[in-house]
Amino acid sequence: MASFKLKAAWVHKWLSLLVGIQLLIWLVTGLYFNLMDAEKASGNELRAAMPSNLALKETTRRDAFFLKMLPVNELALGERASHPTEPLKKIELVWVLEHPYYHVISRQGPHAYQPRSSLLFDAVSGNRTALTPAQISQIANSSYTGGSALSRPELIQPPFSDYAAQQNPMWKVSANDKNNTAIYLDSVTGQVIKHVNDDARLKALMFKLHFMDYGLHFMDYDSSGGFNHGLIIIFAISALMLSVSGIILLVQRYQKGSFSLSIFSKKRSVSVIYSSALPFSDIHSNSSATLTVKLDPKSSLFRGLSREGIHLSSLCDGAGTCGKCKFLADNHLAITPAEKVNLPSSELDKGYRLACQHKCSEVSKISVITVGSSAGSSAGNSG
Amino acid sequence: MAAVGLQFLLWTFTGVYMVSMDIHYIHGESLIKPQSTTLNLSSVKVSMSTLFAQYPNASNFTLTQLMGSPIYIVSTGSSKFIVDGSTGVRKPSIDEETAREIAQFYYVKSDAIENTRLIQSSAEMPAELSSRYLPVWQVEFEGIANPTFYISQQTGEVVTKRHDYWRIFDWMWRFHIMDYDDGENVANWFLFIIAALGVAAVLSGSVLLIVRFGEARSEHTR
Repeated sequence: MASFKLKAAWVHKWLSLLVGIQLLIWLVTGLYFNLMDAEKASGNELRAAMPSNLALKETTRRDAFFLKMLPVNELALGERASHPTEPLKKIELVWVLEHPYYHVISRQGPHAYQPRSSLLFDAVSGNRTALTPAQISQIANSSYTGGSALSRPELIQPPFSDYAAQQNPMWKVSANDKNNTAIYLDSVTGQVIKHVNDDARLKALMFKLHFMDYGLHFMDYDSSGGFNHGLIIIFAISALMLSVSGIILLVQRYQKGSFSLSIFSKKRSVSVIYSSALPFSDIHSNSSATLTVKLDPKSSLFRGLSREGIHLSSLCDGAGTCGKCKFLADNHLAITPAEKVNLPSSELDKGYRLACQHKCSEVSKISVITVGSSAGSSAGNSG
Repeated sequence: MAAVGLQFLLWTFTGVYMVSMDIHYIHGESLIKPQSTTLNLSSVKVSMSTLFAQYPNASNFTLTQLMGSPIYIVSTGSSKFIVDGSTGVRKPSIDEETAREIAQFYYVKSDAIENTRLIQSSAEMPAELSSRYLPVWQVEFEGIANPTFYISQQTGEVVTKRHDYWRIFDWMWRFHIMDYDDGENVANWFLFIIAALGVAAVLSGSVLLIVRFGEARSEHTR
């Protein structure tokens, strides 16, 4: 048990050195998530509500019947030049600025940020096409309610500091506002993917810190912006071991009586017949030098008495090695190994025990020899 | 502070689970059989223009596959339905038998189906399902970790899936953010108080640590 305890303390000390700073980061960023204004941190403060079909007007929808759209099986799909061997998966009809397009998808993950291969065709002419910067500007403008000037759209490649998980190219349009809003749009369909501003960037930074996503990627399941990586797994396991060793230490200290949950436990009333010099008073006598004290039942008798100002002789301060803190009880108490070692059997037979080896809850009337007992002497004067 | 200690244990234990389990695995992505069939355009006999003429309320169409055959998913703003891509015939909403067939077609293993039921309102919805998927068929497989598919009654798509690893993850998340009802509210007072006490505990711990290492050093030099 002693070596186990030592181990828990040793593990606890060194692990706290390893994970201490990250532990503080976890807590502080956790508090940030707890207190943050989720609305602001979304980055959508100046984003217009727009349906997924890019605000298709009712008249356009009604007149769609009159459009002569090229049937999909007449599309010149041989022009899917970039990935000619990839099988066709899906064709979506998408409306961009009131005009229909076929979005031809050959590869797509379960999440939109995962790598996707797709092409855009004009649904009326059937020609392979790409949206122009002017069209992207117009879409970005309609999604932005801030009123500040917007930059020219720029087609940029991953990785993105504003969207770590995104693995597809995006159009970026920057607004000249005080919150540094950036609008990101799908490189193919022009759909608004997200707005990012300084509030959203702060939140992203907090997540980076919380997930230890410091760019030191190893053992990654997925190489971008996530929490499944080797560094955090090592730290999480270390922190778990820190918690477990801490709980073990806590339980050990509690059992030892070094601290108690005194609000939860009822105090034990114990009559103490004291004398400041040998011999011990007879445990059955009704001596005037008797004091009734309320003790914490779970702490050792040695500590409990000491807390009440009744100090017994001791060299080892309650460790059970010096055999000094003798007392007599009026009830029979089991003999502990430390008592066998430190007290002669003649004394044990007479009922002498060591106060460091028994809990306050085990006794109700005892006889002790005090040393410099403050409580005892004041009681003696009055009694 | 003992309460904070207990929450430290919960934070770190749940944290280990969440970081060490691959999130895509948690999301049940491995429950779906990889699909390699190409959408065969030569078998598509119906054009989107024809569909616009037939369904004047529609706004969007998606040509995709259901169990290897081409279908159109037609969106009318409030609801969706499917049209057979080769015949142009509108298909009825998915019945129980078809739902089971779809589930077995897309499930990566060959476990038997244990239970199937239609969920139409949020009142009969399990907590793990979002109401945006309604109405939906719940198909439960007999297998390790109770795999469950949710199949849209309107489109036949496997809209979401669950297994126990995800269900456990959701509980881990609740214990992590200390929100024990629906697990959605990070901004709760309980978390605030314990996290703030936690910061105090870590700071006092670092003082103790410095004292400890200081003691060790002075013992060495003695």
